[in-house]
Amino acid sequence: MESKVGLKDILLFLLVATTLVSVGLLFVQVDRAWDRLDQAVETTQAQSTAMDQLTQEVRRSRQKNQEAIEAFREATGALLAVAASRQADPSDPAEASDTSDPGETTNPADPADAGLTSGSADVDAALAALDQASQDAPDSLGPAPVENDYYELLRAQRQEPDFATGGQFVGSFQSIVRKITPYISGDVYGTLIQSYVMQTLATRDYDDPTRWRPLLAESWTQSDDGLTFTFTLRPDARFSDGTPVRASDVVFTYEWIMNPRVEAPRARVYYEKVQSIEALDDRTVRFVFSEPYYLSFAVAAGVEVLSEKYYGQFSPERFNALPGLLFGSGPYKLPTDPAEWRPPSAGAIRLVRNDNYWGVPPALDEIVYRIITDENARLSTFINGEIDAFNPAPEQYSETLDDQGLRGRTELFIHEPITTGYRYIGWNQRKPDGSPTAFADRRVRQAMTLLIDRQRMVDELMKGRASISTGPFHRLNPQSDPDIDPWPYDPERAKALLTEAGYADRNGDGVLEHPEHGPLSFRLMIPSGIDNYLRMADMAAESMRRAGVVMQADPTEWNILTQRLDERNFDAAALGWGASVESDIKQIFHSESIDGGGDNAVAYTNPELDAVIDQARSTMESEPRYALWRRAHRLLHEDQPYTYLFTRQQVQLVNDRFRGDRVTKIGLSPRDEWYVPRAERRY
Amino acid sequence: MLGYIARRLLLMIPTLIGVTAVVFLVMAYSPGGFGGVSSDAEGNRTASEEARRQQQLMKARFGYDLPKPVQYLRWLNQVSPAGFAMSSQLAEQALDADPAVNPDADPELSSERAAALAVIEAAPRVQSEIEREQLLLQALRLAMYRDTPAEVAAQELVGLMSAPEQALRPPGAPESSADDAQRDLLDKINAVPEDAEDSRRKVTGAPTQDAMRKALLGEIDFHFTGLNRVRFDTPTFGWPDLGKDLERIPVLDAIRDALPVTLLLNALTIPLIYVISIVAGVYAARGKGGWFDTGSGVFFLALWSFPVIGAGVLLVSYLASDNYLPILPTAGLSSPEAAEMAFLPRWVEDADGRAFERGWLLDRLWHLAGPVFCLTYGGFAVLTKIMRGAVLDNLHADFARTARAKGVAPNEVLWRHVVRNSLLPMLTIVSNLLPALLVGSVVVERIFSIPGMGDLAVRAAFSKDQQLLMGTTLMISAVVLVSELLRDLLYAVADPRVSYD
Repeated sequence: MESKVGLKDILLFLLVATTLVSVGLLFVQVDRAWDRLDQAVETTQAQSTAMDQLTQEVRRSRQKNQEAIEAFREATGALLAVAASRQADPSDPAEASDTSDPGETTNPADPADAGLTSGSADVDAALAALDQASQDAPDSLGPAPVENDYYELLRAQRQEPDFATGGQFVGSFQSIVRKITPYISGDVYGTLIQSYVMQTLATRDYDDPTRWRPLLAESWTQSDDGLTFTFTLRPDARFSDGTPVRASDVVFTYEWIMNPRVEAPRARVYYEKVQSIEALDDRTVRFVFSEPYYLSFAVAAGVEVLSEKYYGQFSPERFNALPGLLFGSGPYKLPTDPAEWRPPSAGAIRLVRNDNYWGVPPALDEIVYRIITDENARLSTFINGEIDAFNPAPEQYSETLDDQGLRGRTELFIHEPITTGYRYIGWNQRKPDGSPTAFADRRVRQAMTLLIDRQRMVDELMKGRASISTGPFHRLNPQSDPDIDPWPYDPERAKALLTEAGYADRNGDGVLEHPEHGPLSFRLMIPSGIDNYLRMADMAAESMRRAGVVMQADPTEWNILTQRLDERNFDAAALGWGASVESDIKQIFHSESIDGGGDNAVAYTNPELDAVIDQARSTMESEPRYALWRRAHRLLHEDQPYTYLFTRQQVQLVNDRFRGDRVTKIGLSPRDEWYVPRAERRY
Repeated sequence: MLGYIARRLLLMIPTLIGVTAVVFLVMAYSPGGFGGVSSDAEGNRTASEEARRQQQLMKARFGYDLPKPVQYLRWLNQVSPAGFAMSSQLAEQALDADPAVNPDADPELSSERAAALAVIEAAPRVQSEIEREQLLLQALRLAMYRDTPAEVAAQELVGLMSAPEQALRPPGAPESSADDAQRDLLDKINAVPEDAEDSRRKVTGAPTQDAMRKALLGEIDFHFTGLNRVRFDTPTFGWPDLGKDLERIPVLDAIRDALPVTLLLNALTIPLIYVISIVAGVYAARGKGGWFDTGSGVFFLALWSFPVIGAGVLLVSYLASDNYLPILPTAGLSSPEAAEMAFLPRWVEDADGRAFERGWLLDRLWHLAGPVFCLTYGGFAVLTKIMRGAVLDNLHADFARTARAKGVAPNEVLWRHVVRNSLLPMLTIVSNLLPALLVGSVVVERIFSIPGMGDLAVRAAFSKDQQLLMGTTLMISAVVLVSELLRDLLYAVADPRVSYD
């Protein structure tokens, strides 16, 4: 029974354990070595493919040049013959040989030059084709593109004395990104990663988002009925493997999304109004929509073009299963084979510069996003200078904005992108049984707005980092009417309005009553667990109580909240709506949206507004359409179906070694405009 | 022994069913039930027709509109190694059964597919390749749902497409002598024209035939995508299918990514807790009532009462910040630049001379220090007390007194006789510790940004992702049950008095 475990046994055990651990570690090491080797092989292969292409191109242009020389010789021969026969007029051949000096245009020793010539020949041919195409279609020009050449701006930036290529931008994500494959990833951060790699036909200009900047397309036209858009692709646009972007790739993208075996049902919804997409030739693609809708152009121009050559090699099932099948024509690309990409367990997503980029190459070598789930950890990491940008929450303002050391190392941006959503209180006008509530009376809704001190909310709740909103559009958005002044905080006027609407304190309990609706007492539904909403409700309740209105906060769990909105089982609700560059408000305020899949949970009806919205949605020219949106804004301001509370400002801190970071209308400028002067480079 | 193991393994099945049923029904009956939470980072919702439609689509697709117990039984059927095929699964198999692409496809399914395809190709109003493919999939779905030949289903869809007006049946149209499934489908088809009417109304001006056809096709696609039922006539056998999450990533893949991380943490934490507790326990018992006994008792209890979340946040805010004492990394399992480093630490020559590079291994250990500390420090109190008690008991036991009486050195009595016998109760604790560590790692993984099982489970619960949540629940409860079985077996191995035969 007595077995002996002595020091020797323990030593033996330790020895065995150490050996096992070492073997395990050795495996890991070998594995890593293999991975690195794989990467190296891959890079070499990519380079050799690029070399092959280059060689072929050189050979082709050489051949072309040869032909040109032949043609030239023939021509000169003929000319000489003509000249010889027509001795009387010697100027013709001289002129001919002047314009096409064989020494200059056909120097086979200089491949770059030769490529350039053949390229410009292509351009000429393409231009001719373009002329042909534009003659075929008697179209108007469609949404106006920006006049200034964006790439000129980028090139000018390259001339700055401190401009340097190289360096990294390190950002942070709050949660792990598990899928970045385009069209099937529904993740916010996944979309951000995609925006570096994928490109669209055109993109909204950052400084004037109502206009469009050509990207993969160089120009476009629109039919008069607003149903057909024809895009002409840039001749020089290339995917990151060097293959040109063709019209067939755009068609392939559409067909790929619509393929029922591709798990892109969410993306498919946006293309339901597209009737057909066809390639008219290599560089011309035509979209036909089934109904005129002002966002049709945005849908067409916003197609993130997939490479047919690359994506065509995967079956839909493989495409659905692979988490990182991200390959495009943008300024950055994944550092490894996209098919091998896995969600990063070590905590960072890396993108590297696309060396085959067709546009102005970006300055930064790498874009890195670290995954940091904890708020405090993110702040510490930013203070350490290990991440380059940080958006403090209102609670962190004092900690970050007052930290002089930190402020000295960073640049502070406080700005209001016009795509920021707004917070509101919606006044339900219809009970679940269909009868009207007290809020069906416009005067009562106006009085509620007059009773809410929004400036105080902005100052105390949001620490001044917000602006009062007057309608569903951001105050800097051209959709919004700049002449509208927000309703003031004016309890006296509110009381007058309520008296006018028939409210009075009839039984002396300090609460206003209405002969039909009874006492003016209601519950404000707010999302539970968010302190900011609760404090906001308390502030509003306080001033209402003084005016004889009883309001009680009703924190509700998110899922049940949306359910109660759908069932219209609430008195009033405080929530937020997201916004876009040109928001479509039909879903929220049109009377058709009261039932059947709309979001008009407060059952607001105004026939005049309905007509304005319908007209705006089918108006394709932007000026008259924006005038209609502004009219809608005025109507909504007068009617107050919602009390519009405020829109938040963005507070961002960015490491000050970057140049080219500036505020645009829709956020900070994209990272491909940023650069780091050589002296301040890190990593 | 083998009989005992078999019995225990069989008992696990009802236990797992019980655990998953409770978790499923609690989540399903919680307000809102399963399904994605739809708001952006700032808590704002998106107002668009598209967003609405996406939500409806996800609901239908995952069957969230079914009665809750039925949803659970379906999930059980899906993970069970022996179960019944789902009609949508069969439809997808049939769609794949193209002999040209997939030579070893089931001949019966491929003939069904060919028949349906022939009908669709013959239809005059189906134009493009995509439309054909769409209709084919929906026809197969319909056929598998009703268990009719695919040809018949295809004909019905083609009929619907070629005469949309006819399809606009009034809601109270005569029902055929249909069973429940068929009636359900009839409702769905009737829902199609209603919405098609909607789509047509949206088309301003004269609705072109083409636009209407397109709209109808979209509606067919939209409504039939959710068409799914259990085919009790088709039993299937195979590995448990944990399904796909809302992002359409196989749950098994997600677990495969996350589990090693958590196991790594636990593999470091458990031995550390044990070694320190055993040593401390033995010394405390030897000097009973002395300064070490009292001191360690108070200290470990103090550690035990300090919440992990507080310790984690303090570590990250003070010991990782340049403003205070930067000795720990802030987040993650590796530095971003670790991928470029060599495996082992080394000196590298660079422009400024020789510089130390910590290497991948040391970098990983450095990143593990914080989380392992947080997981470890609370575990000493209980284990030390148990060890101390056991050692004290055994020190006064007859065999120890005998050994001492025979003149064995006190240290030898303690380490060779007493400690060995006192280790048994520690074994019992392992299985209690493991689930506790899995739970503890939820907090620690959040704070230190480590993508492990805890993080996965929290994400699943927050996004109300049915498949992901059930998959992780199943995996964690299976791990706990297996570790309990292992403990009991170890017990028998370690203590000859325990026998299960």
